[in-house]
Amino acid sequence: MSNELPQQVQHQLAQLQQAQQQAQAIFGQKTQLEMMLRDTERALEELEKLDDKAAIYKIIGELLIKSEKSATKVELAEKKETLDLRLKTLERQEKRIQKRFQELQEQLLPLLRKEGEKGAG
Amino acid sequence: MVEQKASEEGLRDILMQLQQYQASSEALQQQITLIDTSIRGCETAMQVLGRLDGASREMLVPIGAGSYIYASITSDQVLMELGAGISAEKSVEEARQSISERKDKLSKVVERFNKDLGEIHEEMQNLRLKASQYG
Repeated sequence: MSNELPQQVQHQLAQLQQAQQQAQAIFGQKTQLEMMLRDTERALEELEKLDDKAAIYKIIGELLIKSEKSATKVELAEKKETLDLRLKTLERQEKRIQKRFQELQEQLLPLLRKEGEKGAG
Repeated sequence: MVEQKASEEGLRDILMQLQQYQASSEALQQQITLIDTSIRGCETAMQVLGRLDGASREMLVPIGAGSYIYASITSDQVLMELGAGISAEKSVEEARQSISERKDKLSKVVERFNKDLGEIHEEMQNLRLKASQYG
């Protein structure tokens, strides 16, 4: 069917597909970051409930390395900050892509309708 | 001719919506299965911790291939994962409490997802009914 469409429409269709793929990729990354952020927040909450002298272990590869509560808290807080920042960047990218997708869709729909009418007529 | 075209477009819209609902339903179902596995894990851990009180300190630990080695418990502490690759030592009672809370939270999420799934299926049923009227 795409062979029957004018080149300009085909080009815009390709751009629309590309925007959709980008949006899907960003959505996947965002979901992963959100999960990591929730995990880090949960760990921070649980850490707060523990005694200052509680034995804390950090998983590095297959090993559990003994660590201190205060140092672990700082590390997790920094991780949370980084994740927050990356998430905000992705959200901005997502909005941009969505806007682009919508613009392309608005441009394409009337063109496709016109092509459809031509085909029917 | 115009009527037939409108009818085709209407049916196509319904089919597209059905596809979207189907994808959402499958994604939700996958999440529910994953969370159910975590809930079973919490239940197993709570069962083990429940049996530690007054039980023999000797046990058999699976090493794979249906084989076990003898081991004995040398500490009253439980090492529990907090998240983000961090674990902490807790007493048996504290660990049981934490796991129980985690299980309750997961159960609530599954409950919510099941409700969402029910709504999606209801919506799909309505769409199928609409689609059958086009035939």
